[in-house]
Amino acid sequence: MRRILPVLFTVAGLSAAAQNSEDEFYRIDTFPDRGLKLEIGALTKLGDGSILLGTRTGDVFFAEGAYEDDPEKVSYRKYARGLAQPLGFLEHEGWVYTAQRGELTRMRDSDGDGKADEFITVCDDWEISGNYHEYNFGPRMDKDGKMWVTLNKPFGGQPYGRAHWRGWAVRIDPRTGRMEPMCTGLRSPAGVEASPDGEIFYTDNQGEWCNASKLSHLAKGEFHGHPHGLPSKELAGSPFDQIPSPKSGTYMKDLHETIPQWKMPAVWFPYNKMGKSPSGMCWDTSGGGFGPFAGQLFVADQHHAWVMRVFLEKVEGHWQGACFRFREGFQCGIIRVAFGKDASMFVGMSNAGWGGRGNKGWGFQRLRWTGKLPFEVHSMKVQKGGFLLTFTKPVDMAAAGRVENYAMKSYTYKLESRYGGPEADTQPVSIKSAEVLEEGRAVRLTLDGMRAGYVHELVMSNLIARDGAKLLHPEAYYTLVKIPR
Amino acid sequence: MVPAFDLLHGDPEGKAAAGELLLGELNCLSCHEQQGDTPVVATKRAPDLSAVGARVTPGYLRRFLSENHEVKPGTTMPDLFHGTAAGDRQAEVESLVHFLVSQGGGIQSSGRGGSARLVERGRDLYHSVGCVSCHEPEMPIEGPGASAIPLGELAAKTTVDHLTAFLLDPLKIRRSGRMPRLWLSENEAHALAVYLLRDQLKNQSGLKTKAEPGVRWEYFEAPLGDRLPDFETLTATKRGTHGTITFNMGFQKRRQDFAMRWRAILKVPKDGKWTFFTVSDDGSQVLLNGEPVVDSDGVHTRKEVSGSVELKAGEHELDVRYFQKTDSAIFGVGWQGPDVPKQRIPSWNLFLPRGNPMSPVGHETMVIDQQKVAGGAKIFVNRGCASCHSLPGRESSPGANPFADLVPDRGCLSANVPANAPDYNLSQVQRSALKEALALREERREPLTAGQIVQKHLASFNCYACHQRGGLGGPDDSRRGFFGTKMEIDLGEEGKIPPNLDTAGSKFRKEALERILYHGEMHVRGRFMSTRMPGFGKENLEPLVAAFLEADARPDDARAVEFNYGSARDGQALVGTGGLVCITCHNVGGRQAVGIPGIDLAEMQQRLTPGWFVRFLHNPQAFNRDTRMPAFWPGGVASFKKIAGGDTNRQVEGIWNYLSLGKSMPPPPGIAEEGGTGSELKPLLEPVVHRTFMTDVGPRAIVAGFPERVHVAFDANVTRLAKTWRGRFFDSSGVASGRSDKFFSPLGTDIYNFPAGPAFAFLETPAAPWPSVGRTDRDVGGEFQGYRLTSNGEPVFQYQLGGCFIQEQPKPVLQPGGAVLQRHFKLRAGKDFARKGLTFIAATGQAIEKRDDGSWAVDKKVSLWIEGNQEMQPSVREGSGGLELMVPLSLAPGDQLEFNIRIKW
Repeated sequence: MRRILPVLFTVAGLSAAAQNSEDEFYRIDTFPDRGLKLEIGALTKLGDGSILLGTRTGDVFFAEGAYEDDPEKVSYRKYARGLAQPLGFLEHEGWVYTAQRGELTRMRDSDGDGKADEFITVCDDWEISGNYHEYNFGPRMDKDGKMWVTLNKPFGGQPYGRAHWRGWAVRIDPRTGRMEPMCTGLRSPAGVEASPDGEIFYTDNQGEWCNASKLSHLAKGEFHGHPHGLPSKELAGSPFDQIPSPKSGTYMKDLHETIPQWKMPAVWFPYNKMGKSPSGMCWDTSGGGFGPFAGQLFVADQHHAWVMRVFLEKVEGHWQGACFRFREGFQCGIIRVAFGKDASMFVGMSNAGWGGRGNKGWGFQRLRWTGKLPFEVHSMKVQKGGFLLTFTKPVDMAAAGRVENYAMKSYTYKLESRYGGPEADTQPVSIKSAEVLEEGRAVRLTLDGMRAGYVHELVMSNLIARDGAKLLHPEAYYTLVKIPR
Repeated sequence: MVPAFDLLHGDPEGKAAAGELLLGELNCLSCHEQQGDTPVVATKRAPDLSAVGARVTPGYLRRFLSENHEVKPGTTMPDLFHGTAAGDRQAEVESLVHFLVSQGGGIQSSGRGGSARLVERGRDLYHSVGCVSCHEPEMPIEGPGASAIPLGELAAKTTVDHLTAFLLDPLKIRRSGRMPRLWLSENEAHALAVYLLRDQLKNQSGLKTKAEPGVRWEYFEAPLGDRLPDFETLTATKRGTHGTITFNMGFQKRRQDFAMRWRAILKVPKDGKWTFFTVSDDGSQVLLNGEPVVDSDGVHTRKEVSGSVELKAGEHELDVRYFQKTDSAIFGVGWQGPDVPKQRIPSWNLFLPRGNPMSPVGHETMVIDQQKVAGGAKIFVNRGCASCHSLPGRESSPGANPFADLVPDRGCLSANVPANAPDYNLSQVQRSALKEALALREERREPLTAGQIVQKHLASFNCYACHQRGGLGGPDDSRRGFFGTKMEIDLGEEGKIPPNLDTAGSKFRKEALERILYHGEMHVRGRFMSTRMPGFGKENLEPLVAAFLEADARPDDARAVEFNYGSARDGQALVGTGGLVCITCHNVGGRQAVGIPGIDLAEMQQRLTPGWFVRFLHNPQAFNRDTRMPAFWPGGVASFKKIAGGDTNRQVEGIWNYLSLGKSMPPPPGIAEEGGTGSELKPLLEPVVHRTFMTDVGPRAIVAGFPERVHVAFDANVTRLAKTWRGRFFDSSGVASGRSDKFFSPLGTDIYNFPAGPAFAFLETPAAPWPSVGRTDRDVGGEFQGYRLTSNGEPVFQYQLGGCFIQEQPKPVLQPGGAVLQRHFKLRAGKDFARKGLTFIAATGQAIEKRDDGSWAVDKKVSLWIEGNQEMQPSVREGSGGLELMVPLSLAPGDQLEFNIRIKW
């Protein structure tokens, strides 16, 4: 008994410390809701820096005073009302574009009274059957100036019959309103985002035919796993001539053998370890104002009410990378995150009928860097024969050089018709060497048994910075699709 | 016994009038014929005897025919056999009894029984709804005016079933309306019948029928408030029995505004503390032996509420109630007690409630003797019964002296009635009044004045028991105490005692008088008085309505107040806080007044004439000494100066203009909105435009609600205006709560559906069928292009069909009688517009008719006006599902066309 008790205390102490530590580096400010049902589904920064919020019930507000240090100074000014579940805003040429249930709409205030008075239907070529799960996300503009919208598939009854283009990503020319169907196989694509250079990525929620939550890059003519949208391939505008239906039980890494259009994800989010329902995301465009992760991607989770961090790199023409925990403890499942003009991240929340962490049904919060540098893995790059880890601070060379301070295993997933799926074909990956480089800024791990098509889960215990700081989040999950030759 | 006789007779001028009243109430002229005008305007016919044998016991008939003045002292039925020798008399009566019993073939025992609780409930009703205005209260009263219409030996006469049916509609049997309808519900009539026949219970105490397992349920559809309704006053839409308390019976078609009630005998297995639970959305209650145990009343989301009570093992009365207003409908009930874990109440503890059996006192069944029936039939005709009682195929010839030849003190009018004349058991005073009436026979051959006709009606129907007119009548002191209020509100005498009728024909519009006198409107609307305004039957009171109008109407009553929007807005401000605060004592369109919930402002304009209203506002006390309505314009000078320039006429007309909006009245400042869940959309100050899933419209509905309480739904999939309705707007919780998956219907009333297909189409030939629309079809009516909001926040929908750009603006337009919906269309043909045959469909229906005023009547639901900036040529044609009102449009490239469709309910 004597030996067990201290261990228990240590574990409890660690977890408490981890929470405190996140708080030390990134502070959550909570805005009062002023009695409004702020179930936020859309959140964006307009060109003048103002923050626009959209709620599930279709209200659109400006969050005025959202940059004040004291969050209590916020007030909400109504801009529009009565939209059908807007789940994304994008400002373009003086209009705010939004994907509603049934259409892509642009709205503006034409008479300058502060309220939108024109709601123009840009495109309503996709259909809805009246099923609750037919959410639409976006739009986001790609490098060609086209607007991408991802279309959720229905789940359950469809009162007005089967609707076309559900489970697709489409893009729309904002000038003509023409819809160009791009990809299918999407399940519940709750986040769609354009990278700073106009590449389009989306997040998908695990379930049937999407057996692990993921982040994927989108390009025309691809298939992402869920067969629901396949019947629409027969319609005019479909990019597919021929596309086979997936067979349940195939390893996703092998799917391209039977389905040439199959696209592997950029990042898998292993179930529960990295949330359950990835949603909105945003690139760190703060140029360092938000801390050490400029250029990286933050992905929110609607179940875990937290924000994760993703490092992406393009390898052999494929976007892939690693995900890390970043900041937990928001008051409700997160739908949208967006950077403001001052390098703070605005976070919009709604549980919208789903369970999740947090004690509120909705919320509007703000995340700010305290200015203290956390000790974190900054990047995890794949190299021939291993990974190169970089850190936000110089490491303690002795600790970082010991291979026993690293543990790695790899696993993958099958594409299956059942809901969710386990980690499959798990094997340990042995660390042959840990080489400290660049005066402690980087560590090169040489491995035995790297496998393409597998998540490589790395746990770094006992790693400390030169200044004695513990590694804030010692786990990293790299989705290795391509190994450099 | 003729109640108003004493009243008229007491008037120095009224002796002849009292006699004339008797001539009508005793139906003298059916034997003593009179040609031309008579002083009798409303004759009381005797009860209809068809099927009398099925509802009255032979024993009662026998006793009543033998000695009617003893059995029912004060009856207006004369004794026909007073001069017949005892033996013959008995034989004749026996034959008549057999004949009458053969009409209907004998009385069956009653399916329904009674209980002490029902007696109590019936007693309350008897003494509150107005019965005792004519009949005697249970505790006899004394003093002048204490006389009452006798009930006779009811307990020996009939059964609970028959008396219940009679009370529900007395005019079926007593057509002359002296016994009026009191607008009782089925439950109320049953309770009242049990009370009136309570002696039948005494005889058979201890006798109980075997308990049958089950639950008695009732289902009600009615507009509901925010609390459980008063079930006793409602008549069930459906009722039946079931094995257990089940909410989901499969027939609740509507999602809101319904209520259910389950009653059973609960067999409790053990003494102890029993806890009952309900889980409900919205309100529910559990009563045991009449006492509430669980109270979860009110509009709320899913909520579990429990309550406990000590119960002895054995039978207890269980009464479970539920109502659904908005949002989801959820209901469940359970219990927990000694050795019984929390669970639904098992069916083996539930038994059908049944009262103790009740049957007529002293009743013995009788074998009908056909020979006696034949003899009785002859007597019925020869004795003159058929002069007063209608019975198909039986008519008595008058045979008596004509009215003009009648001699006072002879025949029926003798102090000792001769054997050949019927004995009415008249008093000396009655005989002298009749004599007076006979003396004036010649003078009174002149047509009566309207005032006289009114007075005679008020006397015949005993309106004077409750109402005063011209200083005559009104409740006397012995009965005043029976007039009360339904709830604890202090409205003084005004809230208890029915109003005086001094200016009735000037005050009320003709249609309002008709609604009140024939259809029980005051009962339906009267929220305060416990006494009900009964229904006397249209055929009985038609002359009264005409006479009221002729006697009282003043030339300026119906003067046209020109409707003016600004003036109505003044009126709105005046009635609210910041004005005269009329809303302290007046409800507004169903919303509670701030103080005492008095007469609803939205209902006044339907009833009152404008002229009377203006005079009343100037000096309310002149019309009703006891009124609590303040005089805001004493001496014609406005006491409140801020609105309408302090001008009396402008203020009063403003209020009238505002009242003329009726149901669609936008609420005045300060009034509380009606209840409902937080997700109910309420367009209070500006329109509300909201996208939603909607029943019958689809997943892309856009609803627009207006403060004028007229609303529309647009379908962006088919591209058409789909619905319009009035009253409350829309509950957004279908897509604003849970997982946003519910389709809801409008909350309001008067829902009118526009044609199911597109609003516009190109027809190759005028006879080509209108495009039909399937559930998943889209863009049939054009390509939806969105909407913009005007500076007032009203939506203008935009769509494009074959190169024609269409804008439709639906909006309410205020006008007297309530807001109407105006659909304003603006069409612009593009440069490349080449298609022919553009047609608009204004309405579909089973009956579409053009009226003289240029409007189109559609299915008696709405009237429609079509007006355009070019000549519109609407026409009706046969369509696939009925008639179609088509409007062909001609447009060349670049042309613009505007037109309006106005829709009035």
